[in-house]
Order: sequence, then structure tokens, then C-alpha cells
Amino acid sequence: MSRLFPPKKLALTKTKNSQSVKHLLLALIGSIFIGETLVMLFIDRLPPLSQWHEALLDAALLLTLIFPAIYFFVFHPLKIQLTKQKQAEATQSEALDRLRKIASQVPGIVFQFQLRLDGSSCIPYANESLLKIYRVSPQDVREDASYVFTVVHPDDLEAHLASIQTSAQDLTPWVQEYRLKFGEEPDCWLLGNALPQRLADGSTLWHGFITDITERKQVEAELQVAAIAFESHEGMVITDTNNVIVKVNQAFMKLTGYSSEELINRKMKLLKSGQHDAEFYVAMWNSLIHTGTWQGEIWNRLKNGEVHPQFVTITAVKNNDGRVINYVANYTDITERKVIEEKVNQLAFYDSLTQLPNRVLLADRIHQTLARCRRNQEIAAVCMLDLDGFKQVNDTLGHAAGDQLLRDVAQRLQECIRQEDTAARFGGDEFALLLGGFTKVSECEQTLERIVAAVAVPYRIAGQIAHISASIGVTLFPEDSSDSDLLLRHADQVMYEVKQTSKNGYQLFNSVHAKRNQTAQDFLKKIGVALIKGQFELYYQPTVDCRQGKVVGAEALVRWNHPILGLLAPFEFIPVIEHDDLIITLGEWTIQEALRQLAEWHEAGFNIQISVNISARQLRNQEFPERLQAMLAGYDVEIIERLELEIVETAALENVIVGSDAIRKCRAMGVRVALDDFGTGFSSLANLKHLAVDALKIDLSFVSGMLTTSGDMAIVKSVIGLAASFRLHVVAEGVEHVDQVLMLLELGCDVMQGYGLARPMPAKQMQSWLAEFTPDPLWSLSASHLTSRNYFELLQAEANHRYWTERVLANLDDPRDETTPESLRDYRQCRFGEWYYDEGASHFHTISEFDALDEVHQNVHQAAACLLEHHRAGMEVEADAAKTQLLTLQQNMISLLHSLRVMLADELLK
Amino acid sequence: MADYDLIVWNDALVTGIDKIDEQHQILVNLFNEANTKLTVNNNAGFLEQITRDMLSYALYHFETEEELMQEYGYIEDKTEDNDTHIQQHRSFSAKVVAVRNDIKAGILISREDLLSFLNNWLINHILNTDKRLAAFLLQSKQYRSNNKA
Repeated sequence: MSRLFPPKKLALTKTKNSQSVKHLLLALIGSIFIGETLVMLFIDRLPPLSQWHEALLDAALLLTLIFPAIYFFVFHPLKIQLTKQKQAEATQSEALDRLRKIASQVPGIVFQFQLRLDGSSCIPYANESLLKIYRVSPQDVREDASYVFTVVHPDDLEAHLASIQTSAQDLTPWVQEYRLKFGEEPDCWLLGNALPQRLADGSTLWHGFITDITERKQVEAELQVAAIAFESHEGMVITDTNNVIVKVNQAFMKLTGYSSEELINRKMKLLKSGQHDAEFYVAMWNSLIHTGTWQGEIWNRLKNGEVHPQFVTITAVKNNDGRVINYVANYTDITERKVIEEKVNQLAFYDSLTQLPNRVLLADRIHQTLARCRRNQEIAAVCMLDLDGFKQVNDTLGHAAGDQLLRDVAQRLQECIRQEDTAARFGGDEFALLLGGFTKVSECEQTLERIVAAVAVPYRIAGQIAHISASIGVTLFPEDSSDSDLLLRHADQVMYEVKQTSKNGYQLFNSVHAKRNQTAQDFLKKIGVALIKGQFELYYQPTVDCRQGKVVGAEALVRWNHPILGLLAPFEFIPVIEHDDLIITLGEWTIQEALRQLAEWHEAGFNIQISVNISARQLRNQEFPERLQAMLAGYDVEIIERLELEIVETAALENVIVGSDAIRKCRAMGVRVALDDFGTGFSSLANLKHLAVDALKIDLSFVSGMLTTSGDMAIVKSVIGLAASFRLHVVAEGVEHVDQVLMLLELGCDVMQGYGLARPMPAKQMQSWLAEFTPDPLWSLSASHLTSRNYFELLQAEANHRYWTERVLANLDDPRDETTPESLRDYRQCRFGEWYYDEGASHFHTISEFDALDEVHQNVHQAAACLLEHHRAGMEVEADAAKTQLLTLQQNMISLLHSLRVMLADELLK
Repeated sequence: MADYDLIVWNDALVTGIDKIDEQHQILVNLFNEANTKLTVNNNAGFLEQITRDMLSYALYHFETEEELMQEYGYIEDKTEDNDTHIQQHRSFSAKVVAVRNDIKAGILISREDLLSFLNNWLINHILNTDKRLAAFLLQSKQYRSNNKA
């Protein structure tokens, strides 16, 4: 403040003083000089003075002299005094004004307070702030200050009065915090500060000030609340923007096990558990930057190494510029909550038997693992695992043992995989595995091999040893899809394949393979559509009773009129659909079409039967008899009894019980049933009894081979014999030559079909074929008249010598064979020889071709003996030559026999 | 069993007709599977399965090719190629059907014979016959306008 009064002003005052002294001296000298001059003038002019005059003059002179003195010594100081006073007054009022101005600017109350001895009080002075704070004008309390005590907070009044009293008594400064209370308004906090002085009348006067500290008090209170809050039961951490810990509370120390010394000035990283990936932290920081806050679960590592889940709220603290200066994080240990959550999860996401994740949780884990593998460019494997042999354990040792086995498997699976991987159970003996983190497929394969080996180790359950193995289907990400459902489906497909083929192993999903399966499915659909569009047609191949020379029926054979590929035979497309229900649909269509055709032919006067092929799948289908019943409805018995179902022998044998049951039901409806391709399925006699069919159809492979191969002939003979024994009809398939017809007739099989009789043909063509049919006259050769017997004998002889040659060649390499060259040279010992020199000679001795046979036959035997000798001697070149000779001679012999037969036939048919 | 190498899908086998190439890949895969799974002592069941897959896939594939041939007038423009092509398809099916009939009669085709047939047919058919068709299609304005990328 002193600077407000510059030194220049002081100098000015000095100058003023020196000038007035000079004026004074001039005035004094001037007055003396004027007085003397007047005296001198008056002395000369005046008459001589009387004494009285003289005295008067002296007095006047004296006065003249005294007056300046009086002025100088009395008036002047008085005048100065007055001026000074005036000046002081001006100064004082100036100061007061200044004070008032200052006081009015002071934020609090500046005051004087006087406490009189009688206890009354007044406020001689207070600035305008009094009005604002105490809500009373200074004038109103200048004489009586009692009002100011009425607004003090009742709780503070006593202490307030006591403090004034103490200050008054001891003349110590009055310093007091107290509150004012105005109705319901918030408290107004004041801080009083004043110095007391005792006045002469014994009263006490204070000079001082009072400031409003409400705001400060609020901040203090808030700080206190904050301090209490900070020390709550939840862990609190304050960090700076570098994530360095600035402050922690007790709860946080308790939560983490670290002391504040160990935490402060350390980075938060100290607590990192490693359970969260970078993406997690990126998301957290994004939220903090954009919203100023983040909430979530964090797994933190405690000082003791344990990792606990904590629920964390982080708030960014910003300064007035909006710049982040701190982060405050609030931690709640949710281990307990997690335990409860776990339990709930356990129910929803875990399999209760093995405690492994269930399908729902696995799907979620797949999602996470794929994301991680995509980021880290790693390979993940999704596997489906099925136990081989589990059912047996369950069946033999009981369900409790089965459950124990599943738990043991779960345990082993978990031991084989890493902690990040997942073993799940979908129910039953079906498990799934989610393996990640591979860089090479071979690594994955190693793990799978380990798992397969681990599961296959025998189990000790309920005191017994159990053996099971695992079939695992595997699909790999990223090679396969990234859709968890699709991955599981692919793994399941492959698992199924493993189960079907090898078991106890694993197989990787092959996407080309899958595409193949997909196209196979597409193709099936196309066939289904083709059926609806009417692209299928039945062709009919007649079956003929050659003994009676009449057509008895036809086998219905399905053809696919493919719009692009043309006419397709059943063996071209049936294999594609025989493992699908489509074969049942096609089978039903065939039956319906055959029934319709039967009715149509019946109308036209052709009463033949129609055979329809029924697949194994259709036969097994439990609904089949019912469906058949429905299809037959509306047809007369005479139509129904002409329908024959052909069941391939092997199909009927797949399940004899189911097969025989279905056959029985069909026959009960009046439908005939035949076993097709008979001879290929190794039927036992017992099975044949069970299957109880109407007819047997001899497989065409035996029929076509019977005249050249003794084995085929044996089968044909056996089947015919078997049919006769069981009183079954017998039909030979694949007949191509009249010789076969004659041989079959001779063997007792009258009904036959094959290209030799007629090829399959459309229904329309069949009708005209039926109308024009005439039996081959050659067939009648088998009729009982004697001459025809000769023809058959020739046929038999021919076949017999083929069989003989066949046997010679087959025996060459058989070490147990005891044939000698000598026995081969004996041309009378073979069946042909026996017939030729006995019966044959008696029937044909008149025919020259017959005589020619003798030499050829003998040469055949000679060649065979040579062959054996050379072969035994190891002379392969010579042996080969002998073999060629043998076959040539054999051919010559058969040609001679054949021409003999033709000749005979011509003669007989004349 | 290194008598036949696995066919590794490569650019030389690409005809340029996506649909055909995709199906060829599957045929090659079938062949490779037969190659790795067939043993000297084949069992009838597995042979039956492989030939069934062959038959069904071939039908599916032939249909695709022959449909393209019809649609873009191969028969009119390249009658001879068209006939040869269809003839090869038919003989493939016939051979597979014959092999299957043999299997049923107990005559199992040897591993060598089956692989030799498949390998020769596949390679020859893809490299020659199908590439001719592909070249024809790729030159066809109609095909190009229908199959703009």
C-alpha cells in the first residue's frame, strides 16, 4: 500500500513550508519599515508633543511593532493549525472513504463489535456484506446487535457466545467457526476473526472480519465422504495416465495381498493374469477413451499367484481442460459370485455326468478358439469322438459301470489335451474335442494319435477289465469352414465313416470328399425328380415254360429314360440309390406300375404273371407289408396272385428273421415271392425252410457257365434238386442258347428267361410279342420220344468232355493230385469214353462223323498225358505246346459233336 | 503300392469350365482314394463301394457335360467330337457295370487292372476329350455370354 503514496508528494510539502517562512519574514520587515517611515513623517510635522502625546505615539509605535509580532506569533500558527486541521480532516475522510470502498469489496464482513458491560452489544461499524450474509443492514445493528445472535444455528449458539465471552475476558483474539441458519435453507458456515480491546467504559470492542466458508466446508465434507468412500470394502486404485499406481485403499491391498509400498509407483501390469488377450485390452481402452468409463470382469493375479475374477469399474478423471489426469478403478472380488455363476453354468453348460462342457458351451468355445487361431494363424481341430464297444460294456456290466466308463474316458481325454482345449460330451458315448494352437497338421495328428491310444488302454470297472476304443472324425480350421455347426457336422460325417470302416482311429475331413457326398446327394434328388417326372419306365422280359412252350410271365425291369444320357439300365443307377429310401419309392412305383400292367394285360386276354424286384431296404422296411396291402387294394385276386416279388437271395439273408416275416406277410396277401439270383448267397437248407418262398431263380452266372464248367453245372443241378425237394418252382435266368434250354429241361427246370428267349422290351412291344409268340421247335427235342434222347446224350457227352479237360488243366498245379500220365492215356476211363464205346456206339454207329470222334478223342487224351509229363518235368515250353495241342484237339472234338447234333436235330424236326 | 502315383490336381488338368473342373477334381479324388485304399487282396465290399461311387459320380458328371454339349450345339458343330465324347462316356459306364457284375459273380478285378483303367480313362478323357469340349465352349459366344464372370 505504501507504494500508493509516492515520495514526490513529500517534496512538495517542504517547498510550501519554506515559501511561507519567506512571506512571513517579508511581512515582518515590511511592517517594521512602514511603521518607522510613518513615525519619521509624523515627527517632523507634528507640534512638539505633550507627554501624553508622546506616550500615545510610543504606544502606537509599539503597537505597530507588536502587531506583526502578534500576527507572527499568534495568528499565523493558528492559521497553520487550522489549515492543518482542515488538511487532516480531508485526509481522514479520504481514508474513510477508501476504507469503505475497500471494505465493500472485501468478500466477508468487516466489522466492529462492542460488548458492553451490561451484556448488550452493538455493531458500530460493519460493511455492506453484513446485509448479504446476516441479512441485516449495518444501520439496524449499530445500536443493538442482538439480532445477529438470533440467526446463529441453534447447535452452535452456545459455543458462539462462549467464544465471545472468553475473548472479552482474556482479550484473546476471537476466532470461531459457526453456522447461520435461515429457515430451511442450507447451513451457512462462517469463520469469525477479531481482535478485542477494552474501552474506557469497560466495554469490549472488537475489530475484525467474518468470512463465508460454506463452500470450503462442503468441499471438506465431500473430501471426508470421499476419504471414507475410498476406504470402503471395495478395492480402489488411482493411477496416473501412464497406468502407474498413485493411491490404493486398504481393501485393494487386502484383495491383492500386496502392501501399498509394493503397489504405489508400480504399473498396474503387476496384477496381469495373462488370461485376457490383446483384443480385450484394446476394447477396454477404447471404452475409456470414448466414454470415460469401462466396466467388466478382469482376472487378476494376486501376490500369492492365484488368479481371481474381479468386477472392475474404471473411470477417467479429467481436469477442467477435459484432459485425463487420473484413472480411478474400483475392484470387487467376484470369486464367490463366480462360484455361484459356475454352479448355474454347470447346469446349463456342462454335462452332469462327466462335468465336461456340453454342446452349447462347446459352440461358444469354438467361436473363441477360431477367432484366436485366425489371429495367430494357427490350425484348430474340431473332432467328434464315438466310443467303439461302449454298448457292450453297458449291456454286460450295467449302466452304473457304463457311467463310470464315461467318466474315465472324460478324465483321459482331459489329460490328453491342453488347458486351452476343450473336451465336451454331447450325450451317450458321444464326445467332442476342440483343439487349437497347432502350426502344422502333423502336430494335430500327434495329439489325435495320443487320444486314440489313451482311450484304448483297458479300463478297470467294477472289478472287471473293459476294452473300448475311439472312432474320431476330425475337421480342421481354416481348411474347412468357420461355422461351428458346419464344422461339427463335418467332423460327425467323418466320424461316422471311421465307425463304418476301421474303428479305433481318426480320420480327417476332406472337403473334396464332402463335395463328392454332396453331389451324390444332389444326384439322388435328381433321380427323385426324374421319378416324379415320369422318366422311369418298366421293360418286361418274358419267362417261358419251354417244356409246355408257353409264356408264363415276365420280369419287370426298370429303365430310366434319361433326357441326356439316354436309356439307362437298372445296374447303372440302382447302385446309386439302393442305400437310400429312394429305392423304396422306386420299388413302390414299380409294384403299382406292374399291377396296372397286369390289369391291362388281363383285359387284353394275356394272363401271365409279372415279377417285380424288391430291394433289401424295402424288404426290411417295417411299413412295407402295410404299404403293399394298400397298393393291392382295388385289384382282384386274379391280378394279385399274378404278382410276384423277387427278392435277391443275399438281401433276404441279411436278416433271415425280418426277411422271412416280410415274405410270410406278402404271401398271406396272395402275392407270390421268389428268391432271385439264387446260388450266390450260400443259403443253408434251414434258411430256405424259414424263408418259405414260392420259387427260386437260378442266377444267370451258373446257367451261362453250366455247359462249360462242372462247378456251375453242379450248382444248377443242386438248385433244381433243392427246389424239387422243397416243392418250389424253379426258374433259370440268363439262358442264351438252345443247348442251355435243352440241358435245363433235361435237368428238370422248365421255366426260364434270358436273351436266348427274349430281351427285355417295353410293355407295348411285349403285347405284340406275346401275340406272336411261338415256341422254338428245338425245345420239343426234350420231349419223351426216344430219338430226342440221343440228342441230349450228345449234349451231355460234349459237356462232359469239356469238364474233363477243365479238370486236367486245373489239376496240373495241385501238388496233391495223383493223376498219372498213364491214367490220362486211358481214353476209355473218362465219362465220354464210357458213353462213346457203349451207349453212344449203339445209337450212332451208323454215322461217319461219330466214328471220326474216336481218333480225335484218343489224341486229346494223348495230348493231356504229354502235357502232364512235360509239366511235371519242368519243361514249360514243351508243356505249353502240349497244352495248345490239347485245346485245339478238344475244340475239334466239340465241333464234331456239334455238327452231329445239328444233323440229328434236322433229322428229328423233319 | 507305388505302381500308380496319386493324381495331384494341377493346371494341366484344368479345362477352364468351372463346373467341369470341379467335378473332375472329385473324380480325381475318387481315383486317389481307390489308389490308397485298394490292396492286392481286395475285398468285394470295398470294390463294390468304389465302383458304385464311380458309377454314380460318372453318371452325374456325364450328365453335366452332355447337357452342355446339347445346349451349345456341340453335336451340330463338332459331330465327330461329340460322338467320340459320348462314346467314351458310355464305354466307361459299361466297363464299370461289367466290373460290378464280375464282382457279383465272385470275379474280383485286380487292383492293377482297376487302377490302370481308371487312370488311363481319366487322364485321357480329361486331357483330350474334355479339353476339346472346353475349347469349343470357350469359343462359343453364347456360352461366354451366359457365363460372364
